[in-house]
This record gives sequence, structure tokens and C-alpha cells, in this order.
Amino acid sequence: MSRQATPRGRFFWVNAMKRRDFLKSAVPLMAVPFCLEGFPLASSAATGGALDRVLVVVQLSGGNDGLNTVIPLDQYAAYNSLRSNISIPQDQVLPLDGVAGLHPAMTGMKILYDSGKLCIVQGVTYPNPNLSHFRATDIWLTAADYNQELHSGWLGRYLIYEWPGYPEGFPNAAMPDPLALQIGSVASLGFQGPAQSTAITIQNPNTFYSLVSGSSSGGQDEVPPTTAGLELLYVRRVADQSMSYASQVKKAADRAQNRSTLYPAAGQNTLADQLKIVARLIAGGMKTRVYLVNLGGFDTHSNQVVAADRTTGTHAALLGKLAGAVRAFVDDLELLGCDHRVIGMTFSEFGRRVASNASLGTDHGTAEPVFLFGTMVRPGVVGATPDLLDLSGGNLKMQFDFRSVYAAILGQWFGVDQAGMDATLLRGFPSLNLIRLPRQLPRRRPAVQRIL
Amino acid sequence: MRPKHHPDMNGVFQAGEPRVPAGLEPYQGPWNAQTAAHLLRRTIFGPTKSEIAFAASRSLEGVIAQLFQEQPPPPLPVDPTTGLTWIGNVFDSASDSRYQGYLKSWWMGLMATQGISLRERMVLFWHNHFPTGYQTVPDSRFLYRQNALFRSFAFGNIKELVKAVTVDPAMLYYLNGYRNRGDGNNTPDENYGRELQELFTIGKGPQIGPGDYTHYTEQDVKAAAHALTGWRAKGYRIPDDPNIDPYFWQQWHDTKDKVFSEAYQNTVISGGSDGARELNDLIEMIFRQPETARFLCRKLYRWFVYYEIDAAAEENVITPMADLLRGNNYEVRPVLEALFRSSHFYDVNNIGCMIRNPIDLIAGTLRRLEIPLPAPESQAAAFYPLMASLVNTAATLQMNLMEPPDVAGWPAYYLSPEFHRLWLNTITLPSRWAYTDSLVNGLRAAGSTYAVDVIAMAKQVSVPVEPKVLISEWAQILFPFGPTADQLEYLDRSVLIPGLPDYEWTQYWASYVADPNNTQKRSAVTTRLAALLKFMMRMAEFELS
Repeated sequence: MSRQATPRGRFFWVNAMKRRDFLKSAVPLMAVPFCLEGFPLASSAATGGALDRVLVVVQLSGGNDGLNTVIPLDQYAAYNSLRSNISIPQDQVLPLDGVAGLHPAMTGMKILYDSGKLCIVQGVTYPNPNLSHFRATDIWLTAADYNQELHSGWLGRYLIYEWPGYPEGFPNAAMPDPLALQIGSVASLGFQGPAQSTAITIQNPNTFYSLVSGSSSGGQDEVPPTTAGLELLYVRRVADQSMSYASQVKKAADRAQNRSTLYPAAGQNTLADQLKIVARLIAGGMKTRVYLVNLGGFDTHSNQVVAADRTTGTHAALLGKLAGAVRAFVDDLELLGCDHRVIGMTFSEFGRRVASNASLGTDHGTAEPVFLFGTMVRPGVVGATPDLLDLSGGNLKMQFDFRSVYAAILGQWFGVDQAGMDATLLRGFPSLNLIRLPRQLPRRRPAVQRIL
Repeated sequence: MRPKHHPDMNGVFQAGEPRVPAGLEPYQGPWNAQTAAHLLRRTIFGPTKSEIAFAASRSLEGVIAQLFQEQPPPPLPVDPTTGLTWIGNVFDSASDSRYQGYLKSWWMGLMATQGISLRERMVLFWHNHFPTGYQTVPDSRFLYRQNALFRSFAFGNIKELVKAVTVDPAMLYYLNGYRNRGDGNNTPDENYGRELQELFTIGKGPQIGPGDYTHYTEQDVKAAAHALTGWRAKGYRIPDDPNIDPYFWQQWHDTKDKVFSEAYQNTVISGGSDGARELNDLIEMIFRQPETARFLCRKLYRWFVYYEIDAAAEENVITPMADLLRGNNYEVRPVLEALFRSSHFYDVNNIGCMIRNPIDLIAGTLRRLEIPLPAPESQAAAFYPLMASLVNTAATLQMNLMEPPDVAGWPAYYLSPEFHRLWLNTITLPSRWAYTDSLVNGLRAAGSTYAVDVIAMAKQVSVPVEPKVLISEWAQILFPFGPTADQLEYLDRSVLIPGLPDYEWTQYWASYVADPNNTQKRSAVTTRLAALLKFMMRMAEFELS
């Protein structure tokens, strides 16, 4: 099989699968990003733009309680009676559109909403949701049906569609950077391609570089024709990747500095610390397409709130971190002049049970709200508040399949053609409309330009 | 669902071809240093050169008997600043996070100093199987108690262990059992009832309908939670009562009958006020299902053999293991003995194919290099800080003892398709190199430096003056197979004595041996041996077991 190292052609899909090739008008507006440090991203003109676009996925591990995140103000009485020991008092909720409101700890998200940089999709799950953390996480990461077992991730399949043959022949001039990058330590199933992961994993660009410098490992000796030989090849591949990408990542990180003053001090908010690194790498010119960061601790079976003040407690602290980190990140991207090429999305493996339990907590549930953030997302709330009087086994019913969110990101943001859609999602899903058209762009905040 | 071969397997194994056709029947092949080293690499931390030689000089049965020999319980962990233990005392809020560190160090110490015994490897297995973390259960006495429970059951009866774990105080806190109440209008906390089935016993099958996971259903999750309402533990983070025993608090128990689904033959556990009887009935019901033994045997297989279980392994290994487990009323020992004496275990396709987990890498390398350690008891003030630094390294390498990522344990043992490969990525592999380098350069802890004595290691070799003999014999300690002829040539000519002919090493070594007190001559061989050892421990072969 011939290996292609160059990207395929692409189209944009907007307005629920109605194809519109608006690349020509889109390029000047959206895809000549001057990041702060002043170098235009060289490939933008050549590739038509969409290949410069970046997705940042924020995984909320443990199962986020969506009903206390986006509170259904229009059904407040039912909400309050189903979970009276953990409900957020009505007057404390941060109102959005009059129908739904945010947890009071999420002021950062409220500011993004008010400035048109936040999109909330209500009631996201899939038919026959699985209530196991592990299976549900796998379903979200692989885009599988409830009864389908996939061993590759949706992002991995997408990236391999764009760069067939990876990792053979990579890095190269067209793609000198990792296809995807994860801040963390264990590679996510979401990035798993048909044969291996499309992502590299780092904790900090400088540590990464110093760890591999001076290494002479690797080597291409023959391996025995056994299972052990295959594992040996795997270890050598990781060794090679460590060495070939370390200096690229460090260079990018060294080229840019964070600009936002809204980040909390290092060590206070693990999500903010991760997003700071992502912002630097993007602004520093990395061509990496997808980043994954993680905030854990959402498995709030007990003591989700403090009884004396239900707006405080474990869940409030987590939501405060989420909102604060995301807001600072969006602010940073604007100041760095990269906000037009980056969107983010959050997801959790499931929402939680509508009725609370006796331990001031909630058990595993189903549908959840998904947040998309950034200058380029179509702002507002998509869908109705979940119907609390029409439950299935005590759980929320589905409004949108999560793969309709993926379809929107692939089609409208990454401009993937139909073949790429099929290769990634494996079958058709109606796309939601979640990304702005160019003419809907908000006024751009003047970035501090410094051309080198 | 049985996974297909990993995509990387294409080309080595045809679709449908068994990875290893051999089953659980006894191994009939030769018993020698290679097979003995394989068994020890998979069952203990190490092994050292002399342990391999010892095992090779015994029979397979003799080594198995030694692996399973009952050991006395280890001495209690101590506070190295006082030499006294805190286990059995009341909770000390000012000191407990320090105690937690000592507890981890103590456990790492048991692994780093254990000889030919399977015990500590099994304690780690149980910790991965029934994970509990200090972040959720910040009382070191609870975690010690659980760790001791695992040690007392090391290769004992898994059904009885599940009963004990269900009301183990640390587990009651880790999965909210202590708050699980079903009296009046209280809705039980389903956390433990779910993980008991999904992760600890029967395992989740394919979802075949809403809330139906083949082996159990959402109804069973709820029914199990109801059956276990009312179990609590005493003394949690309380400074006035040293008793941390679990107890049944009848007032919180749901006295109604618990009705299970068709997956459990519509079993009804009758309600009432005898919590211990309901607990017993629940676990017995789960263990009556044949799937439970299969699930547990797959877990053991992935810990000791390899992560992929193809149709042949399922039929020829898992099924007979599960039969043995049930036939022996859930005693683990006969099942593992059969595995370790099976022809499956010694097949060439099962040798060297495991990626070493971080504890194996850390404690095992320390032992393979025979780095002298301070005594755990009499030199606790030096021993504990050194072990603490190893615990930190393990955390960097993603195996934080007593802080597993979540209730499923470490992903390397369940997350398909990468499994053990998840230990290695572009950050953890270079961090492993940093660790092994440090054992050669000198690892500092509490003012002391610990390093391998490369000259002593060279002197263990039969003919150290011969570079290729030196390298090959070191490889037998460090690698499960290899080196190839090309690698041997490279290690000799480009690493040990770059650019020089073999006799240069011969001269270096001979001149050192003739004048061992000459620091210049000593340092000339030390530098070259250190470079060789560091290089070999950065080779991919070293990561395999």
C-alpha cells in the first residue's frame, strides 16, 4: 500500500449536512492566523485553512452532574423536589436564556456566554446509555453504539484519515509536529488509530525535552518473530517518537508565553495548568490538530454539596475550576491572536441520576450538557432543558446523540468531506449546527501585535 | 467478547490462528536458566543472577513450592523518626499524611527486599483488583488493614476475600458503603453494588438491552446495593477510638426482600435484619455463576501471562483455569500452580512479551543490580526515605501505590487494545531511562547515595575479561531474550569500548585486576561498565519481561 503523507482535500459541511464550499471567503477571515509571536502559519494558504484549526477536548472524568451544572430553571419545582438535599437555590443560579442557568461557581462560563463564546448542547448521550464509568468512557472516546465494541478512537480515525500511513514517514515537512497531543500520562483511547496511537503524551514541554536529550536508544535491529518481538517493536517506536518530537514541542513552547492574567497560580487548578501549556504550544506554531486535557473527580456519589450551603462542596469546586480555566484559556487565545483557529469542547462519560441519594450525592446517570467554547462557536443553548417529568428508569432521556456533536466539529470546524465523515463516525449522524459562519464573527478584540 | 489479535499481530499470526496453541497441560520441556528466569521474572521482583542459578538447579515443582511457601507476616510499618508503629493507635490527624508516606514506603520495601516468593506480587494484584486510594480514604490505618488483608489472602480463597473486602473498612469508605442506607425513604448508594459486579467478580458482558449487561442488570446493581445497606466502620479519622472494625447498623438496613434479575436466575435474597447473612447470600449467588470464575481467571492471566486472550487461550487456558477454581471452591493457589507449570506459560510466544509495570521495573531493577540497601528495621531512618523516593518514581511512571487512577485499577490491565503498552509513552519511557540511569549514577536519599557496584557486577561474570561474554551474561540478568549478534557487536564496539578493538577491554580489565587499589585504573573500567549498563537498560529489551 502506498503511504500518503500529504493531507487530503476537504470541504466544509454546515447547516445540517448541507454542503457549502465557502473556503474562498473563509480563508482571509479565519485562516490566516497571526499568532502573537508573529509568524503566520505557513501551511494555511496551501491547505485552504481547515488544517490549521485546532480542537481542544476537555474530559471531565467521573460523570459530571449535568443537572447541577446547567440548572433547568423552567422546571425548578420538579428539580428541587427530586433532589432537595443537593439542589442549587433558585436565586443563586446564574441565569442564561431565562430557561436554563449555570451553577453559581461557573461565573467564568457565564462571562463567556454573555460575550458570545459559549455554546451549550443539552441532553447529550446515546441510545441505551451504559452506566459503567469504563464502558461509557470507551463509548464516548470510540464513538461506538451501546452494543458495539470499537478498538480505535474517533479522533484517531479522523487523524489517520487526514494523514494516512502515520506514523511511518512522520514527522515530515508537511507535518513536523505530533498529530495530537495529550497533557497527561496515559494515552487516551480517543487517539487510538487502527494500529497505534496518533497522539504523544507530555506533562510539560521542558521536562519532556530534558528527559530524552542525550538518549541513544531506539535502534532498528531485527526482532524475533514472536509476540515478544511485536512488543519490542512497540517499545522502540515509543522511544523513537520521544526523541523525534521532543525538540519540536520544546521549540514551540519556548516561542510563546501566556498572556492572560486570569489563570490562577500554578498548582491551584490542574485544568488551568494544562490549558496554559496548550495555549503556548498553539501560539508557538505547533500544527498539532487536537489536544486532550482532563479534570477528574466528578464521581460525586456522596458529599457533592455541603449541606449547610448547597452552592459549595466538591462539585462546586470542580465547576469553579472548569469555568475559571476555560475562561482564562479563551482570554489567553485572544491575547495571543489565536482564538479564531481554536475551539474547545467538554464531555463527561455520563451525567448523573436525577434524584439524589441519601449521601448528599448522585449515582450514575445518562444525558449531560456538553459545552463548546471559543470565538468560533455558535453561541447559545441548543435544545430544551431535560424533561424532569419524562424519565427512563430515573434517568434523563436523550435529546442529542453525542456523535451529532462530533459530526458538527468534523464537518463545520475541520471541514471534513463525506468520506472522512464515514471513516471517522462509521455511519451517518445528523449534524448539529454549532460553529459560526464567517459573517457571524464577533468583533475582534485588538490583539497586542508584535511582528518579529 | 473476545478481542481479535492486536492489529500489530498481523503478519506474525494469521486471523484465527492461535497465538499460543498450547494449553494448561503440564510443560514437558527442559528446565534450565532460561525457563527458570522466565518463571521468576513473572512471579517475583528481580530476579538476581544467583536466584536464577538457584531456581535452575532445582526442579520446576521445587521452585513452585518455594513461591507458594507461607511466610510469616512482615513486621508492622514504623515511623522512621521514632522507630515505633502507629498501627493500632487512634487516628492522629497531625501525622497521618506522614504515616501514609511511611506506609507506602514500607510496602515498597517489602517488594524490594523479598526473595523467591509470590506473596508481594499477589498483594499488588489484589490492590489492582480491589483498588483503594488515600485521596478518598485519608486514614493510613484503614489502608494498612486492607493491605494486610490482601497479604493474608495472597493466594487464598477468592470468594472469602470478596466477602471480607465487601465490609473492609477502607473499601466501605472508598465506595461509599458506609453511607449506604435503605431505611425509610432513603435511596441506597449504588457505588459498591455496581463495582462489586462489574469489576470485582462477574464482570460486565455486552450490553444487550437497556440496563442489561448480560451477566447482570441495573436491577441487580440496585438489589445488591439494597442487600448491603447498613454496613459501617468505626473510628474513621476519629482521635478517640483505635477500633476500626466494620459493623452492621441494623437501623439503616433495608429489610425488604431483594429481587435479582434473570441473569441471577431471579434469585430472591430474603430481607430481615441479619446483614451478615444477606452479604453472604449475595456473594454466594454471584459465585454460583460460572462467568465469575472465568472473569477472575482472565484477570490473573493478564497479570501473569499476556494481555491478549484469543479464542484458543480462552478455551485451552481460561476455561480449565476456571474449572480448577470452581473445583477447588475458589482457592487461587491450585489455579496459579497449574498455570506456572503449564506448557502454555513456557511457550516461546509467552516469554518476554510483557511490558514491565513500574513497580516491577523499580523494585525488580534494584534487586537485579543487587544494590545494597539499609536494613528496614534497624536502619529505618535511612531505609524509609530511600523507599519513599522509589514510591515517587513509581508515581511518575503512573503506578502510584495506594492511589490507583480509579476503581478499575490501572488501565494496563483492562483497557483494550493497548493494555500493558499503556505503561509506555513518550513521557514515561524517558522517565524510566532517568530512573535506571540514576541507579548507575547514584540515587540520593536522606543524605546517602545508592548505586550499583558495576565492578562487582562484572566480577559475577564467568569471564569478565572477554567483552562479549560480559555483555551476554549481563543480558541474561537484564533482558528476557537477546542480544542479537548485531546488538552484541554494537554493545561491544560502540558502547563498551567505542572505536577500539576487543583487546583494549581485555587490557583495561586485566590491568585493573592486577592493581585493584589504583584509582585511575579502577575508574577507567568503572566508566566503561557504567556506560554499558546504562545503555543496556535504555534498550527496548529491558522493558520486557
